[in-house]
Amino acid sequence: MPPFFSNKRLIVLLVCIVILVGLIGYSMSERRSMTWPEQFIVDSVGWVQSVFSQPAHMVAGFFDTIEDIRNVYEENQALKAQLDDYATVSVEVDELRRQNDQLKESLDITESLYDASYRSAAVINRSPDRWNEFIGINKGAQNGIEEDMSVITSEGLVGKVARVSQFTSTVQLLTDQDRANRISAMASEDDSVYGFIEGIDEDTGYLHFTKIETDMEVEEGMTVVTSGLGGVFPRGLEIGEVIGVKDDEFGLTQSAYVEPAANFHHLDYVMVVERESQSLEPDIDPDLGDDDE
Amino acid sequence: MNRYLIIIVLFLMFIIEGTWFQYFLADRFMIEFQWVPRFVLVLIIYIGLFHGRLTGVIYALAFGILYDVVYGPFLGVYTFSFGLISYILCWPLYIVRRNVSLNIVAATIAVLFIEYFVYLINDVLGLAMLSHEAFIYERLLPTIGINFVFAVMISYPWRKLLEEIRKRMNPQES
Repeated sequence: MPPFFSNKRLIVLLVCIVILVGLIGYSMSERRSMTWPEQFIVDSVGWVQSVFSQPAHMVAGFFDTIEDIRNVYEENQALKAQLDDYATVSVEVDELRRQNDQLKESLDITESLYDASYRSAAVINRSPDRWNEFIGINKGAQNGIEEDMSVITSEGLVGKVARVSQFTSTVQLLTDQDRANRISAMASEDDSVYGFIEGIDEDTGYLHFTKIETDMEVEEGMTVVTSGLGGVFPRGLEIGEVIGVKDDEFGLTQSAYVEPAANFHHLDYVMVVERESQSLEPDIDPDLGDDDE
Repeated sequence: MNRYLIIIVLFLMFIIEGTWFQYFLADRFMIEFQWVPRFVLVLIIYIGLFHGRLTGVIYALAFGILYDVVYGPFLGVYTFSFGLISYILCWPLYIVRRNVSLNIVAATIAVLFIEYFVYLINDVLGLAMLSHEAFIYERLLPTIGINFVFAVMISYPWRKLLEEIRKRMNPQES
């Protein structure tokens, strides 16, 4: 039998390792959009995946329905209790909305951080090795999806669009551990507390809400929403609820644990949110300046 | 004609790993343990054992590229590791081919190697938030378990199909 690794094989192996390292470096480079062969593969596979995932959604929906039926009585009781408040609240909302419109008109405000438009999409895949928390959705550049748009379910924020192909795109969930995956968020009751959402705690499943100023009061039960200050997400998308607060390791800032509102384990349909208000004027946006060079 | 059947089965398995498996098994029962399906790899190792090393490596590279492009943030990780492990494990020997338990052991070793390799890559790049011990108990052992069960279950029909095709491809051998 010949020796297991002859010289020739060793050289081939080394060349392969060099290529591997090069490719990893290339794919880690910032702001890389997908090349056309990648888009072609992802779109063709995505088409088959969407065919397969439709019956899966139906069966999964059937299981959910059975679970719903079991809880229907308690839910009904709770909803009846809330319904009494509904009439008064809706009158109040109408009144406030009218007032708000009038005030905006008088001040000539045309856009706000809350403005957004929504597109619905179905989840077609989830990466099977759970090292990264990516899901694929069946809408792409042809449907007007762009990178960095935020993605929500009816319950709350789940992530942002990471890669866009022509007919499919990939969403990076909030739970992904990538260091660049952080979101400007705020918790508000009387006055707003600003901070960043930075990944998830593996053991407890709570999100880290960090970089909160020490003199701000953060309490359990506060609702955390996106602040819209990062220039990517619109304001007011629900993220979750504060569970506990602790001081940071150096005592300069506080951080809190946030229980996510959305269920990251059961994603069937999502909505992609497009922020309407411009983040920066084009002539002072440094990114556009880079493209000109 | 039958070779297309192999490709179709592999592709279906690739699709199922990302869709059905994630909806029905992973999302409902994967809260504490992470079961990672490596079914395509298991099937490829069998192919390599039955149809020769070169065929196995070609399938491994093709599906490695699919994994890298469709799922992974890093290109090349799966292409390299799939190709390497199928080259190492696919001894084109009659004894290995004949013995079912050796087939299954080879497939399991391949899964073990891939899991470790991808863990190391993610660890080096700072993406793996799992300690080594947690990785072994929460991820490696359940993954090996589920892929071992799959390798055992698939062995009879898949080996039979591969043997059939092999005989048709070189009829003078048998």
